[in-house]
Amino acid sequence: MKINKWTILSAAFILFGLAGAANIFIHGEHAMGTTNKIPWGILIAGYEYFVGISTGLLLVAALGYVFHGKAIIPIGKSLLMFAIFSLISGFAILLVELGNPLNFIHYFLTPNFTSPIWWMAPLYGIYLLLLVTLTVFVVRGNQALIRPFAIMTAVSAIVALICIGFLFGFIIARPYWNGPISPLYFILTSVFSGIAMASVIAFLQERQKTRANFESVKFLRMLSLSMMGVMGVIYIGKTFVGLYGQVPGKYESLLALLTGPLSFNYWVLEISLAIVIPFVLIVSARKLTAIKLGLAGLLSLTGIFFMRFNMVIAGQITPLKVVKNPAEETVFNLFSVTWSEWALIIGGIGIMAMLHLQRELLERIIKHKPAAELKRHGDVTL
Amino acid sequence: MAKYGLLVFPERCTGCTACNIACASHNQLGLDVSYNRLEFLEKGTYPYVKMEILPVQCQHCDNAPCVSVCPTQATYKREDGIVEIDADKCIGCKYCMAACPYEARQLNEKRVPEKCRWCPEMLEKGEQPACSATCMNEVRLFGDLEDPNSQLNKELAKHEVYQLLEAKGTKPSIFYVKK
Repeated sequence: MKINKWTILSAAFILFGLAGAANIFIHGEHAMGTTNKIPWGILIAGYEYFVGISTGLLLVAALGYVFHGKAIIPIGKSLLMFAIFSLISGFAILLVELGNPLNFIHYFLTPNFTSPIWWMAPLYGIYLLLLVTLTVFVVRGNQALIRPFAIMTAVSAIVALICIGFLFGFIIARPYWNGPISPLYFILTSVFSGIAMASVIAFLQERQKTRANFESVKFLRMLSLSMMGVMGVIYIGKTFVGLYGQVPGKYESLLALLTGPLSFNYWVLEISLAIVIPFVLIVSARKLTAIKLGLAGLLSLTGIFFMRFNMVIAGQITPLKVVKNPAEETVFNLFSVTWSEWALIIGGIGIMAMLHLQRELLERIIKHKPAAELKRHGDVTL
Repeated sequence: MAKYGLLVFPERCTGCTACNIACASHNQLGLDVSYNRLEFLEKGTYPYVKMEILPVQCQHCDNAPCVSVCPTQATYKREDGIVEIDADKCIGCKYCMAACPYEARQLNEKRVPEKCRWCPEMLEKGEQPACSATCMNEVRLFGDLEDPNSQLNKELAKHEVYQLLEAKGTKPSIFYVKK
């Protein structure tokens, strides 16, 4: 196992995450910022964020392995690896978020097939299985099996994303989430996060001097700009429809984002970081280098985290108004994020980083090289 | 098999919160947990204003969103109409809390989203639930919706009633008498 300053930093992140998890397990919901009025907080956003990156990365990789996009193939293996790492981070966060994970056996004993949450486990399970299998084939170079498995994995990723869309879209109690576009929203935003992460990966690959591929950077630049355009349409659509129709519940949530308690998050941390600044960075660069693309990707990834967080909170920040009281003004529900919850998000980043740092070792395990041979070559420390 | 329902007379409610206290006492609830609440409505414009008090709790919906979304059937609908929770099956995903349009769910110390159960242990003894039994003005009339001779059905026939958030399609089992 290689140990350097990045490994130590990643380990520190994971330890911080474990401390947060321990605090939540010991003190329960009191250690979290969630309330009866806002039952889903930053951990649900974090789960969505990491699984969104995973499925997004896979869909970007599919452009290479399914549609023969030559610019993606050089970074394809890294995309798949990071897709697995990101999924593991997402699952780790979700495990802590669940109040009673030990009762999980009832998932199988008394399943409820009308629940989107029930479908999440088998769908993401299948996705993970296919993703790992595809990665093994790519690492081992089984060319004949790569494309069929890439197709199956991409389909499973899309189906899993549609399920997350249903999870929110089915909730009639929360007008901001409720609606038929929810699955499409999750697919598009996940692809956006996948492209952003792929931009960071393209930079990392160049930094490690594994032969930078100018074509990859050029292709990702085109993808990033296209996706930012799509995101712009989504934002304009959501904003105008929300303001024009003034649908009760949806309208107030939109105001919370535009001018209310979530406005800093929305304008600065979401819109600016995820779209505006990366867009300017990419467009203004006379010659787009991997480092500039990577920086744009990193900013987008940060902004997309707040995109997830804002979506989760905006759906719950508006009081449900069970009883229509004409005299009552809208007083938004309070929300907070505790150190334990932040620790888990940072821990999730730590897991991704640590697994990436040990990637070489993982690849050699996949390739099934005996330890003696590895030691003889001296290219990996066990 | 009976199918339980509740008729609420809001104009009789004085806001004494005895129902809330009786419920907390019977169910041994913590200080920050409450299965029923009173919503205060101001109506009219000054100086012609009046206040209406509306008791709100789990509506034991026939098309309950919490039942549909629960991944392990920890929340389920009994034959008698009560929406019940089996805490041993709850994984703590809180989907029911997000899905309930009535904000009826309250997370307890064991991270289980609990709510009004209509006290089935009291119904089995032929008694009213704690909230109904304690109310000095008989704001809550509990009864069998299936029995045409029940007091509940007689009162339902006599009054113009409405349900909360009918447009959501949840088909609640609680009816409110219109003023």
